[in-house]
Amino acid sequence: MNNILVSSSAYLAFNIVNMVNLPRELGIEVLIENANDFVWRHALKELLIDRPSQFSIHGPFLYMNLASPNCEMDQVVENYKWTFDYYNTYGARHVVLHPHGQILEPQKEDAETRKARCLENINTIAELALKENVNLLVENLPYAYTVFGQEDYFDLFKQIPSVGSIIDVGHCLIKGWDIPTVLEILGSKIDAFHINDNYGLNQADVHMKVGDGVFDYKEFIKAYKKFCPDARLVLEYLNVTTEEIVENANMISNLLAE
Amino acid sequence: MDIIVSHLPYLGYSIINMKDLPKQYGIEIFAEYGNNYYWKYHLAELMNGRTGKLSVHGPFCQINLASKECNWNDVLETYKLSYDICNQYNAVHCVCHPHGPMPDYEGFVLEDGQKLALERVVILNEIAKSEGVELLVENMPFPELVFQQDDFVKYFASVEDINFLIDIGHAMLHGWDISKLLSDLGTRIRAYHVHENFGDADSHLKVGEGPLDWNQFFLDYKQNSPNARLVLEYMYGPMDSIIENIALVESYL
Repeated sequence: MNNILVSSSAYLAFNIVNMVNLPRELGIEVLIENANDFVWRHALKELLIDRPSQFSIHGPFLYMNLASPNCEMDQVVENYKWTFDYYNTYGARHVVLHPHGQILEPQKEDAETRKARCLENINTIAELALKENVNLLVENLPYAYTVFGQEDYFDLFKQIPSVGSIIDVGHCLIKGWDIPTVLEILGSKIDAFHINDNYGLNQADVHMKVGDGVFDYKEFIKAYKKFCPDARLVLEYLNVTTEEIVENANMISNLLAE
Repeated sequence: MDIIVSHLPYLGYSIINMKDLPKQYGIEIFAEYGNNYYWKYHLAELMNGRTGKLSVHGPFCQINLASKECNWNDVLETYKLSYDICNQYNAVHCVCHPHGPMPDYEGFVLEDGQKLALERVVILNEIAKSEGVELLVENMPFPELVFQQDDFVKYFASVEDINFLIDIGHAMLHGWDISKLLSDLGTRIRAYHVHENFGDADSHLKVGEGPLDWNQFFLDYKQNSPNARLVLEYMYGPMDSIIENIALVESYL
């Protein structure tokens, strides 16, 4: 299960201490903004010791809308410097970046202006990542309005070639993206996936475990093996037990081995 | 008397839902579960226009003040972070867990653990005072307590300027005599964690969902600590049900 990681989404706040019960062959992705230095220092000491599997970081995203004219980029940059320090201290494999936050009244601004601002701000963080030797991955989003539709998302990696892609398959389902096509077009540009399930087009981003919703995971595994077989699979679930996560990881691992 | 709602049902990303709490009620945050940026922007939104007070639950993750294996310098550092948040955002108190689960290392002696916990709480309280923060010592829920009711009162009340937050659910779990506790500590109880359970688990149920005689509690409350803050520390929302429950609590008052 070398390429399977588990997100701390199922272990928020003081539940982080229970994450230590995950088998050591599963990697760990932490939602870094959800705790202070003291908690992370102690939690990571326990989580990463004797864990030969991989470690990755989900970068901060709350109150951080890179598409907004009011985005305080100096504060965002400070927050990402803090995040990148963890990346380098603990030998992480990637940091996930949300390219923007929710945009409730998109009609209030021209889409191209917004996209240009968003790209500029992503580029600022990408340049910082380059300087700090950080593997920064930009994620596709589930919001009702997204700055980067499927084609724009593909184009983002031409505009900013230093960043990679992390595909959230649940977000693809909500936005009606064709998952095998996304994998075929982006190929090895995809360095990781957020794996989770939901009820599909325009439904809620509920982050269920694979098999509980409409996600055609067998079709996904086929495309994964063909187009990006080295990408990490981060199980990003909500409201599940450790036992359920382990069982789900085993199922995915078996499918990969077939 | 202030009514404050704990962010326990809104950990992680769902904290944004706390903005739906009516502005006359306060919010208690678990300060260690967020970095500086997280709190800066969340609190700006959550406390904007709020007349209810902010309070802070101090750190407790991986901390056991009764254990000599607990890294004291780390504890001081993380409490300092919580005190900074208290001052930065005008929090009315900071909650302190005086111990974690009963230490199980070889050679542990209960009395030594009690003395160590007290000594450390006194230092944390001194630092809090010097920084203008009101530290409140809470009673714990663990299966084995370092301080049972008599020892809790004996040790901590013996230090003149230590004040308390009494957690009603934790007191229930260990069959403490709540009326006596309130009578013994009186106005040194500056706040309560309000919730209940059936004695089988620290389930943080809402007032009225368990077996506690809340008429008796509020009678004791009015008699002994009528100005203490009521922090509703519930495990679950949704917000509508919490607001409905606040109305029930207010009816007792």
